[in-house]
Amino acid sequence: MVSTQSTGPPVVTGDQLEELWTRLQLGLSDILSTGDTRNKSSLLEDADNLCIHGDKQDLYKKISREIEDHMRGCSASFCKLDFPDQTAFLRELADVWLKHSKQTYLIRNIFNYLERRYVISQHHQLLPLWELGAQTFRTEMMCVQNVSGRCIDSVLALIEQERCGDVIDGSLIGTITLMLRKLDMYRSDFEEAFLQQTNEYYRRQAVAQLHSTAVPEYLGYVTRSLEEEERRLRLYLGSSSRDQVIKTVETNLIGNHIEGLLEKGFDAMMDGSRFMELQTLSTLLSRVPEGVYHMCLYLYDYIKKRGLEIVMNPEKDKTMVHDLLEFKCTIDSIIEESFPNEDCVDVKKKAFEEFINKRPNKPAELIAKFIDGKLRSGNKEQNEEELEDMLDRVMVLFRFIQGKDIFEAFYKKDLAKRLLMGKSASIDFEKSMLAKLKRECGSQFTFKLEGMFKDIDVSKDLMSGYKEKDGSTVDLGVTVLTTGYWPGYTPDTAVVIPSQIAKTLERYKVYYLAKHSGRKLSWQHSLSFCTIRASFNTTSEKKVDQRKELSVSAYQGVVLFLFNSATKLSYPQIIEATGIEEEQLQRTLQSLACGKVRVLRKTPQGKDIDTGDSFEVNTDFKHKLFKIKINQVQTKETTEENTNTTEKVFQDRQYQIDAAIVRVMKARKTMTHPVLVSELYNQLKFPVKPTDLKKRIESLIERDYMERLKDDINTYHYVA
Amino acid sequence: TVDGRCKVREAVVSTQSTGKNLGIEDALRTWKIVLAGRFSHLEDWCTFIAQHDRRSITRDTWNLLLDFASTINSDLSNYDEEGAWPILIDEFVGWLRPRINTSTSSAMS
Repeated sequence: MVSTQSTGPPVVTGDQLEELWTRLQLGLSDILSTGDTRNKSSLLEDADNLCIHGDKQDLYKKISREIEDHMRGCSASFCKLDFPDQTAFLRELADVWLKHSKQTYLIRNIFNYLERRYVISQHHQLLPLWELGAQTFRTEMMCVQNVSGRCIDSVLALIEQERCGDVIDGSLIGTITLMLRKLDMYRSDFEEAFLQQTNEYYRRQAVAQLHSTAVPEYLGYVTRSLEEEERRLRLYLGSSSRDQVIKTVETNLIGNHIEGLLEKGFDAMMDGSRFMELQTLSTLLSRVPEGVYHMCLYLYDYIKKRGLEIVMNPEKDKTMVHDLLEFKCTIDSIIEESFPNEDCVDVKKKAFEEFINKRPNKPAELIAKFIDGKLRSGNKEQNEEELEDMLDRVMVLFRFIQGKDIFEAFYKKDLAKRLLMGKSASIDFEKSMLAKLKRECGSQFTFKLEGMFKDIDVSKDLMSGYKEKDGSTVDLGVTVLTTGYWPGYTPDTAVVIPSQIAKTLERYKVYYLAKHSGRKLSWQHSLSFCTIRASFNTTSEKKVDQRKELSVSAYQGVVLFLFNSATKLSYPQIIEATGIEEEQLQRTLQSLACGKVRVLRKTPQGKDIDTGDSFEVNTDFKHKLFKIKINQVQTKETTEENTNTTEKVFQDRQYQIDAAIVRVMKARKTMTHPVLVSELYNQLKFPVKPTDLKKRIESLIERDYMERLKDDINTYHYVA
Repeated sequence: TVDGRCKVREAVVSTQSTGKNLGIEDALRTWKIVLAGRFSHLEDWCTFIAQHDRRSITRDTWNLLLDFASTINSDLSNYDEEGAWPILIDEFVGWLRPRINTSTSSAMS
């Protein structure tokens, strides 16, 4: 009896409506008890008809009641059941729910017309059919006899079991949680309890695991736990709780134990260069607030600690530069592999700068010495590329040093030696190193060093010009050093040079001064060397003439020459005859008579030179080589030399401080003490202590360069 | 007073015989007269100077000692190490501080 649109609505009688409802009720009963019904299409028709012609409100109420009654019955029988375990309970509950869902869905389809035309248009007053079914399930099933409580407890228990390693029915959990969501019970009844349990579980686990495992294993445990939770959420719990769960795990396993983890395991992992473990640590720490921050603190402390071990121990000085290079390399790789973020790179730089400068002056000196070793001939350790690379890495260390003037002094001294004694491995390497220094420190730093190279080149040209002109056969080489470029050498014009040599030197001087008339030349014999042909007449019967070629310093040569005209000489006689400064002379005599190669015999024997000593040629002298080099310098002297070099730099720094103070005061006329000090820190390029500055200020006050104001002792005034 | 200070300085200048620096012996004698009653740590200062490895006192230190005596509290609470005091006075304060602290703590206990 469906009305057509062309004609008016037919009148339907009350009886007919009753009939419709009876049929529908039977259908509903079918659905509710068996889950399905035979005549779906006719039911649909009936439903539509009843909807159109009958009382919609009444119909809705009737449907409601049917569902409600059925649900009560289900609940009653459900609650009578006994379950062997929680899984069985949940399975049954899930089963009931799924059936119910399906039924509700079917009912909704059948009464679709009612739904669309009546329920929805009533807005908030009536629940749509699906929601009606769900609510009914909730009130009649879940909220009865603590079914919901039991349900949630069971789910939580199973999750706990799974966390402890058991296998559980995951899809069952999935179904139940989906059910809770649909029943609008997930947030209100389940989620909070779940989060609390998660929190409690991981809180306990953290303590237990940290106590019993080493850090690397613990990190593995954390990674696995996070993965497991993600999986569980993804597969059966749904993603709405995901962020909170993960955060709970992170906080409990990592966030609350940052210090503990780092304290326990960081240093060991660093020492062992455990890239993977450190990377895991870094990744996990980055997940919690302040994690990376604390890690950076530990990184800083670690670098500083290990660095100080390398730098502060004088017994390790011999290998300091090598160890530093290795250390830097290791740290670089660790950071690149495991901590690839800007903060860690910054920390590395700060830490290196901090510890290298804790040992004043020595690192600068040793780096200069190290480079000297690499640039000398005879260094066959590396090929060109390797050497270039190593020098670049040394420059990185150099960059961290604050007192670069110490380095300059030593580098200059060593360069001078290399250039003057022809000991450079390759001029190209020397120039390359110079270029690196120039890039790093500016041209002012390398200006004098470049001057030294120029002097060498110019001297070579002059020498070939001289040889052409002079035509003599004396094998002579002269290097003219421009004062100021080269390290300071004490003049030794008092030294008496054998006359033949002196004549030759004079001829060169004439030649040079002809070219550069305004200049003044003074011979520096302490830097010169020569080769002497010697023959030792033995005292044995055979009278064999032992001939040798001796490579000696000029001083050594001067002493040896004396024995051409005298057999035995006393110490005082030698002093007078040579004009060599006493301390130097003693060393020279020691090198000739007390060292490895004894070309002279000293009476009485012994390592030290006394005024009572006398010397003669050692006629028993034997050596397997024909050409023999006799070292002038001994180790003790080198240490002294180094101390002197450092002292000179400190002196120079004092002059620089004085000059800076005068300069600043002259410009500003009046300054308070703190302002002056801060300005000086800006201007001075080497590390200074406030006491150092005060000393110089006091000195300048005494010398009347400046004065204090009468009423304010804290302010200085420039005295013109 | 400012006048008082100037008078003290003048008195010092006139007692100096040679050069700008005053010998230790002369200095100690002069201080004991001139600073009596004006400098609460006079005795400590003299002890310190006698122990210290110095041959003479610079003019600047001499002048500032009077300022020190008149402006610094006896517990040294307002002394600024970062200020412009001469190094000798800095060292004196460093030497004196622990001695003051031990005497006050023993006074309290």
